Amino acid sequence: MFWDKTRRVETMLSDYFERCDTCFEQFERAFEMYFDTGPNEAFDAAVQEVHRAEAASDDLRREIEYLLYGKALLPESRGDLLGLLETFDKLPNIAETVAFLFSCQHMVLPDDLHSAYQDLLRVNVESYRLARHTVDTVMTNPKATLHVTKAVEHKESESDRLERDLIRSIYSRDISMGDKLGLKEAVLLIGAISDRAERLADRVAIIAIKRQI
Amino acid sequence: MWQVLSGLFLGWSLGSNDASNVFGTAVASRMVRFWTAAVLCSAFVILGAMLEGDAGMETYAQLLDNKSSPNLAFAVGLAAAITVTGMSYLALPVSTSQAVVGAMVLVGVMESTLDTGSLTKVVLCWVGTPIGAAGCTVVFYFVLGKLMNRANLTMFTYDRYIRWGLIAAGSYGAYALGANNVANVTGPFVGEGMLTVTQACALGSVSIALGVLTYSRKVMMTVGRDLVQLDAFTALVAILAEAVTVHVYAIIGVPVSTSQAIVGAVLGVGLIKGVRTIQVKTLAKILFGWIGTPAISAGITWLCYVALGAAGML
Repeated sequence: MFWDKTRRVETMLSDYFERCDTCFEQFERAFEMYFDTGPNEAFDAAVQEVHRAEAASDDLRREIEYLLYGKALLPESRGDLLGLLETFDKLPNIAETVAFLFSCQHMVLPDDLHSAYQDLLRVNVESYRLARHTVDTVMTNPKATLHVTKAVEHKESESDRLERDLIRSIYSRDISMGDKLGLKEAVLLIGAISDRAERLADRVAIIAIKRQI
Repeated sequence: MWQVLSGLFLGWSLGSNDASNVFGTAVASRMVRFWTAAVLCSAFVILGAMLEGDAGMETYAQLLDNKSSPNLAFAVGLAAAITVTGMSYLALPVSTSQAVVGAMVLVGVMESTLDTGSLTKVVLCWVGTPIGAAGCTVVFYFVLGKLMNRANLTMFTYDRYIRWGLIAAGSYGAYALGANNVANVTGPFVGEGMLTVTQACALGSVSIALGVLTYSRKVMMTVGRDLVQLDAFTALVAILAEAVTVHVYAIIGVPVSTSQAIVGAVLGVGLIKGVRTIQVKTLAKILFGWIGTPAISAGITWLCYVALGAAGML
């Protein structure tokens, strides 16, 4: 019966979100390591863990998509879930990109900017967690969704402020333009996490609103 | 007895055309699989005809003052069946009731046996069908919408409720179809005393079920996909409104068009959502089918009438 497919989608979706959570846990761990010991082999190994978690979430996402294309759920729910997956997938992707940027370029941050970068990373990981919470909310208590999505917007604004401050600070320094551009790229990529989290929250809000008759 | 064959042919064509009205929106939008819909539709058509199909038989018996011959009943069935099958081939949802009544009116005029009082009742009910269905749609939309909002359904629960709702409303629609429309198929033969009401309901409903199972997919796709882009909830509301409207007329005993009911229901959705959602071209095609149906049916009946007269079978 078609209910079996629906249940399978529900279970697989829950697994997918957990894999994305794992990816972000690995991401946090990798950067704790980075700020403790700098860009060394241990950090590179931790980045590989981020990559593995991202790849695992990708594999499962593809399976869910095939199941949905195989006519699980009503067409409109199917479309909403495919859109949700597409938007959600960009979060572990960008986390992996940030981690690889620091690992591949052996990026060394000026000591006095460590805490600012740490703050930026913290705020962006928090924005992921809030966006993830909006997904949980739409799956369990849709009426509360719009309230929760506001928190993601606030977090994204906070990240924007931190990004601007950091970029100002970078460009006021007496370092080469190449270094400035490298540091700025890192700021923008980290900030992209909250941008994508906000986009996810917007999509979740639309899913919730669409079901209000 | 061979004359009943034309009624069975009509039943088959009715099933192939009118199943679209109860499950078309759900099947075309892939919310319910065709075979799930076809099997449920067939079973509930038979149930509806056997339990509540007798009232419409009386109306048709009165329409020609019980004075026509079995051969004319055959001509009526054959003309209506050819008309509806032709329209099904063109993928147009048409009114079997209008095809039958168009044929019966021609016979009534030729034989001077037409009961205008019964005809007026039938035609008035035709007018009331789409209007009633549109009204039901508006009421159900707001009542069910309020209930669903209050229930705070998650995406997966919403999905399950709507899908069960579509299957339940479609099955109820099929029940109403059987109860209301079986008279179109074998009603004229009851008036002639060729069949008892129970025999007429059984034979008629089985022939409708065969039509659903063998030839209904094409019209189902037209009704659901081309008329208006329905979402799952409005599809449910439209089918429910159509089923209730047709069932009410089954209780009154006037065979009405499920095609008119579903178009009225979908127009009701269009009114709620804004008329831009209605595809005017398809609507025009359907309106042409409505006008063409009784006219074509009456024309074919006239040919049959002339042929029967020439063969000395009147």
